[in-house]
Amino acid sequence: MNAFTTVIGLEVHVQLATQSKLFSPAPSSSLGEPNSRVHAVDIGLPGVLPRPNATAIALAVRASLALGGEIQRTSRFARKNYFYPDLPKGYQISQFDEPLCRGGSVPLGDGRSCRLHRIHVEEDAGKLVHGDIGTMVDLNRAGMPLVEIVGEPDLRAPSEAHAFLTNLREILRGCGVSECDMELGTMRCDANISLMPAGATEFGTKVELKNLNSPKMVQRALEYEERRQAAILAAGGRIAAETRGWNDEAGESRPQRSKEQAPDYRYFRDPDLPPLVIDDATIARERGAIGELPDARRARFRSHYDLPDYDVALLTQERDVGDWFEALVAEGIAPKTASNWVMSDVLPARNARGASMATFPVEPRGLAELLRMLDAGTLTQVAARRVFAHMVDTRDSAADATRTLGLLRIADAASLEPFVAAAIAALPEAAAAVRAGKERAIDALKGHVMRATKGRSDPVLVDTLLRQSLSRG
Amino acid sequence: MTPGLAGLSATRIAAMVRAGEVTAVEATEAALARVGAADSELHAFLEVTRDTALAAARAVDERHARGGDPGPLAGVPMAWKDNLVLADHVASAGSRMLEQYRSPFTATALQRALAAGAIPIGRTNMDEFGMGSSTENSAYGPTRNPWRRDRVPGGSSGGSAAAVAAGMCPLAMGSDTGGSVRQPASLCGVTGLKPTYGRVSRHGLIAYASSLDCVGAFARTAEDLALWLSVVSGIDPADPTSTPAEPGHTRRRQDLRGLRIGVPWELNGPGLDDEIARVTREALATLTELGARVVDVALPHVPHAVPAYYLVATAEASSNLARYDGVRYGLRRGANRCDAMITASRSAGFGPEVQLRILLGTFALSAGYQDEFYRRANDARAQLTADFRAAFAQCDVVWSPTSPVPAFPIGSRTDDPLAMYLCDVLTVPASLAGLPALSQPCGFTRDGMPVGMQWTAPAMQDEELLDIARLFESHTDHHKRSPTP
Amino acid sequence: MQPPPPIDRNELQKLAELARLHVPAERVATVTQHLQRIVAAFDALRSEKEEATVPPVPVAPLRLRPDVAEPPLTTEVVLRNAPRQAAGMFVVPRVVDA
Repeated sequence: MNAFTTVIGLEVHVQLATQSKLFSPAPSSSLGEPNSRVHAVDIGLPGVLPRPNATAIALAVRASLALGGEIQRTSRFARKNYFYPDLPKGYQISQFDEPLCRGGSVPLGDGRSCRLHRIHVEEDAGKLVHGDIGTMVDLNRAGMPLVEIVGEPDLRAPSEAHAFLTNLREILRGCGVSECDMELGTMRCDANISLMPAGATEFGTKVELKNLNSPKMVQRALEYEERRQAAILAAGGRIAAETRGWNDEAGESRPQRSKEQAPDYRYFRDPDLPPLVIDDATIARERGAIGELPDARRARFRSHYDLPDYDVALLTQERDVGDWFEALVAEGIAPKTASNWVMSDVLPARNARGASMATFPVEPRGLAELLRMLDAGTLTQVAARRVFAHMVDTRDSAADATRTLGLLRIADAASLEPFVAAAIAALPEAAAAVRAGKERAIDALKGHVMRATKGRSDPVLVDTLLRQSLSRG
Repeated sequence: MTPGLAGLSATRIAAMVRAGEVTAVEATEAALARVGAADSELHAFLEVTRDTALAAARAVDERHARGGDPGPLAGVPMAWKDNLVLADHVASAGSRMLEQYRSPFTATALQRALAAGAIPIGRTNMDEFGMGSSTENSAYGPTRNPWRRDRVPGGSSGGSAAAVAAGMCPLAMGSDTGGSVRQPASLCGVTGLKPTYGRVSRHGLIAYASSLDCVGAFARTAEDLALWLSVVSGIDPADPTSTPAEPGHTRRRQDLRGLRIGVPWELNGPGLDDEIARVTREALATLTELGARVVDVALPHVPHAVPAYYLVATAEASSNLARYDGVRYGLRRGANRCDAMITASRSAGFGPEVQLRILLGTFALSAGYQDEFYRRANDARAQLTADFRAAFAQCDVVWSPTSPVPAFPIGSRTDDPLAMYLCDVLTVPASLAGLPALSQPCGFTRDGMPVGMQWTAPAMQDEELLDIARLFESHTDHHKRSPTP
Repeated sequence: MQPPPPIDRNELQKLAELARLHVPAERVATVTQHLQRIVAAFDALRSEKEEATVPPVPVAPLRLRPDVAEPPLTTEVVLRNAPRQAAGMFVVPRVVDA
């Protein structure tokens, strides 16, 4: 059995989905040339003062409420003082002992959850690029709005860290707080991990892991670190308190700096920023903006629409997709039919176009019209999928697309007889096999008719006509 | 040469320009001529912005000629302290660190004055980053007191005070963190206003101590300062600590009868120079003759004011001045590693007093000492604020001398920072409490040096202070005396 | 009553490192003495047995700006005062992590 218990705590930085930076009106869009998203405030020029962004605060409140934290009605910004060339003012505006939110939790699945210590608002630093002539400083990222979500050391396995991050991402994306894309850096995670002898209550020396760019990478890095520490401890060694950087390609972490001596950041209240007061109206508004949290939505989709778990998982992954599905059902489409179409046709088409549900060319009403034609027998299943593809390309209505493609179903015997005869003539061996009692050979003949009619022929009628012809001959 | 046009008040010049009796260009040229004649000895200015001034003056005249409103400060030559930034001009804050630094934007207070027709004639000398009480801590050499060349003008806005005192301009902007407008006003015999904290935007003021810094101004009359305040004050989206003017302060006091003058013994006790004590006592007697009533009030936490002020101010300064790292602007000293470059640049760019205050502020905030020093200093600050609140239950204004000493000889106190800090004992209480305070001339020492008295009012009652000062002027002529050029 | 905290050469060295200042050897004695005197003078503040309650100072709450992006500075303006620049970026000597 395991000789050690693993203790993991995560600190997650999430970039808030605002138009402008936390303390400056420079755009917060991430693309662009170096130093092209910079305001005097972001350079820390002499005489500038911070201009706090209302939406950043609102989104931080929303995130805190969505995670069940307790909003502190009065909180303060504080300065964290240290010198680094990516930190323009020589201090970072953050929150220290008076954060925006205390408590909260992130679900881990199976009814378990990880408690949160606190959530606070802070500004990002710039970026350093190391070159031949020295180090280059790009301030585009300086001043981007962040919340730091500090988890309690409640996690006991690397897989729980993975669950923490994917659930956190789902919640924050769901309520519009952030894109939470770890690869793009809009969500960043540092992990603290220590091992203690099984049954012990006092945590071991912790190591901080950095440079973790996806939930999977977090899990891999923690698994590596778990093994590394266990090996050292098992051999009677001692863990050094340090920060280690994960190298995913090499599959190992390397020491970055010792944490034996904590730096003295000389935190103090930022005298440029009066207390941040959150009023009832803000809390009510942001609570309303959270909408349905992922767990609640999953439960509702399961019970209300009677959908299998696989469908529920797919439809609730993104809030827009679930909304689209529900709009389709509201048009009178049976939930399972609606779910099948969203999963097998709508999502692939959207992904292929790199579109969002908001910009997707077909609306739920349009697909509902098509599905009603299918239900009425005006179209075959095969034809309906072609019509849908055409609607996506052209934004035509279902009726117009069907006419354009000439895909109305052929369901009269007189029109189909010649195709049936041609199929029997073209595939004499299959015809003979059917006559000899080999039932399944009839599929080849049906396929021939379908191809010849471009999928428009009514499959039931084709079957009847084929059997009539073969029994006659 | 007589001051002539340059010797007139801002209110008078603006009225003449608006009436078409004189052009802004004429007023500007008169001021520039006076600067040219007087400043080589005084060194009030770090730069005379002749071209900018004349261009601004022409713009005012053209606007006027086209029938437009030339503004309430039309054609008023104005100097500004070197820690207020003007777009495309150098702003050095009296420091080597920023010798070459050109700002891409203009300070809100300066911008509002210029939009009102004021003419920017030059930036004035100051103690580096506002850290000093004598203007001797400027990296560019001291400014001399126009009343006696071997005396300091006070500080840190000594250049602005000297410029107004010497008749080079009727109006000059400064900044006051612990007395940096009031004390030089007193030492130079002019009127200086430190508005309520937040009434004038700090945007574009190069920070010393954020919770204390106020943009203020010097003039020869209270009326000019009232005009200046009406133009520059008000809320600014670029300064989250700026406050809107509260309505209801428009009533003007018509005389001093019944004015309850609170005289705290803590600000009038031992430690005052004999001549300061004598002159201010006489002024107080004049005030009672004019109908004002003296009320004894207590400010029991005043003895803590100087320590509290220096701990709070230097703590904030240690953080505010961390941006000067040689990376994005300012002086850089070469080194082959970035951290060594930062240390070398800061050590070369900051003068000794600034370095001393950064070290003191770093100490006040550092682990293990922050609770004992910085937190206690803030507690003392809150207690002092409460003292004032209690005092204002009994009086309309608090009165005291502005400076415990008249202008002292250049070089006489530079070796002893603590002695220099104690010059601020009378001005830092209002700074810590964020209250409006004003210094105005109230007499002269036997050897002819000006003496100022200080008025402090409840928050947002800046106009009340200006009214009181104006009424005192109307019965006295100390403010009309000027140094012999 | 505890004596004021000593600011000796070691303490000065620590402060100077935190503040990224180099105090030259010939200045160390003077600066240490100045700081020591100032701290000692301010020690009254530390030792004063104050009443437990500190009166609250009312402050207006923080005003927030609407989230509207404004055009940023041109890169030329951003770099105008840069001691050294290349490729649209500020250039500093090599950063070496401690």
